[in-house]
Amino acid sequence: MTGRTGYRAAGRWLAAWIGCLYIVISAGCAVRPERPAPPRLMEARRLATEGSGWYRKGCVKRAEQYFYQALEASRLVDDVEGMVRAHNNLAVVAMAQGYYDEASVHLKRAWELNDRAKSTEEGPLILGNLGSLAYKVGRYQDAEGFWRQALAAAEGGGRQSGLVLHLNNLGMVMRQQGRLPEAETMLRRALSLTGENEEGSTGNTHFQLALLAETRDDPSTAERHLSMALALDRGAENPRGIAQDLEQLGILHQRQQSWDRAAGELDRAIRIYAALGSIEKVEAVFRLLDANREASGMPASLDPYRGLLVPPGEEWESPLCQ
Amino acid sequence: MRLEYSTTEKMVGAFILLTLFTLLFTVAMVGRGKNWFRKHVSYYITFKEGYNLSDGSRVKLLGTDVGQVTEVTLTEDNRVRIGVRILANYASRIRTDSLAIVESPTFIGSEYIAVTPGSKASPALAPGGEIPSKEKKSLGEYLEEYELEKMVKRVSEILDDLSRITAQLKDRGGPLMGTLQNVQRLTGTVEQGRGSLGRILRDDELYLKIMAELDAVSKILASVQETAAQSVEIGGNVKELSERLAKASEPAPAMAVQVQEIVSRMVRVTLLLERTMKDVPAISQQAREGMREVNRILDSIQKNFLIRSNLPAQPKPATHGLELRGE
Repeated sequence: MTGRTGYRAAGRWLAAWIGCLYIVISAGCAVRPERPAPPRLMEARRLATEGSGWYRKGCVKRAEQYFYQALEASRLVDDVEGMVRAHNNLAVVAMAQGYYDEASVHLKRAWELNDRAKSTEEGPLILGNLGSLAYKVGRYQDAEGFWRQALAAAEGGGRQSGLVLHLNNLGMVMRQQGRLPEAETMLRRALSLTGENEEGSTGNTHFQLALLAETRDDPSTAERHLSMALALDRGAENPRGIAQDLEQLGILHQRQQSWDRAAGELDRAIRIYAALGSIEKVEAVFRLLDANREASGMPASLDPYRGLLVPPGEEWESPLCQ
Repeated sequence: MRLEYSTTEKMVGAFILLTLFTLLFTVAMVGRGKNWFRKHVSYYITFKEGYNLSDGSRVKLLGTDVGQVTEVTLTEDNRVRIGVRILANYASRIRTDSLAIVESPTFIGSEYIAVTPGSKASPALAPGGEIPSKEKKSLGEYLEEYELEKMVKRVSEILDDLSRITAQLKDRGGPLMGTLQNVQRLTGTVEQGRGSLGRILRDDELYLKIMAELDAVSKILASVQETAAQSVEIGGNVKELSERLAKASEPAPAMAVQVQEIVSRMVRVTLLLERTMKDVPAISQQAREGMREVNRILDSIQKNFLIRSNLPAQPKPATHGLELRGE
């Protein structure tokens, strides 16, 4: 009898252990983390991420190479969302280089593919970029329409994809059309979303607010926003943004007749533009420096800047991108 | 008395039986893969040294795995006795004239014993018998062998040259016999008073005329001697130059010896390189296989649910929107 009781106790003990083991294994299996993507898909994503890194540094040509590779890699694994992303990014770099026809082809393809992918994240960004393309070719009404659609899609999708960007763009186009209160509403809303800051767009929000303040003849607010924009762009390592902030600060200080400060800011701006190979901007800042020198004798000579006016050749690569 | 079991007890019993069955099945499968259940025949091989062989080292017959090393022991006469077991299927091919040698597949990889099958005429080696062995050659031995071969080749070349020269000398139309025949013909002509030299020796009038001519020649020679005395000074300078040249060329033989040594070293290095290069494809193949294996292991690790959750998340690629600033 005692023997049987012993067997029963051992049986219960063993059953308890098996039960525990079963619970542990089940719990382990239940907490299923995201499965690692297949190697080819991972490669496509790696290429896209690499391209994004270069784009943020202002190296559009190099970014373009990676985005093309990412597109091919996504095609190989039939990753439609990856293809949409790649086309969208290729459109952005094409626009940044002034190739608007090419950008429109990429955006069209991205839009078609997104019909298959049904991505609530990519859709608003395609619309936003269509708005940017319309703006770039001077169709401001169309641009506003696209950005409003992008804004509605981003809000509706719940992902707030590019929300700050669309708000900034709307604020900019409204300011340019003299609709200052509307522009301010948009920009203030963008500023309130700084928690969901996307790729340093908040720097642009402050930049737009500074321009708005300048339009309203409020230099102190403009300077404050420009200083904040400069700090944010520096944090985001956005060289084009930094150059634009410095250029605008230079213009502001010229208006305030703070010639020495303006000379210093414009000097830094022209060098960054030259490093980025942006010859039109170099020429614009050169003219500002010339005006500064005529008004105040600062800088003493424009000779150091004349060398920067030489347009870069086809094979030229920005030192910031090496 | 009939025993009664509760459901729990039955479940536990079934579980234990299942576990035992799984264990036995695993052992059976592993054992099958490892040839645990196949019959083997043991043999012994003795080498001067162990060549890094250890228990489990492979034994190959015509490049095929047929067994493994079971023990490595040192004998009293300071030799290494290797115990091997060979699959019984192949034991009949191990004969008294079979030869065991230690080989390394490449620079990467473990040594193994390669056994050559014996001839059919020889009797099969009895189980537990000693397979005749041949020592593995070291690199130095290979080199020495190469030097020896080179020397033999040189001697053979010299002998060839000698036989060629001897054949030429023996040839009637050859240079030596031809010259001797010419000399014989000339001396015969002179003796018979034919030809210029023969006529001079036989004609007295001609002899006196020649003597007169020789006086004139003596005078010319005297003036030539005078000129030569003046040339001595120049000759001295030339001599000095020659001495300098000789001094400068003194180390030349030593240099030539050094150059010869360097060339011979280069030849050795080239030989080594050639041998190594033969192994390169195998090494790269092994490295590739190794990398594939590592990748497979990494993949399986990544799939493990306990590890998977701790892997760093891959950053999600961004989609960009063109940032406009109103320029």
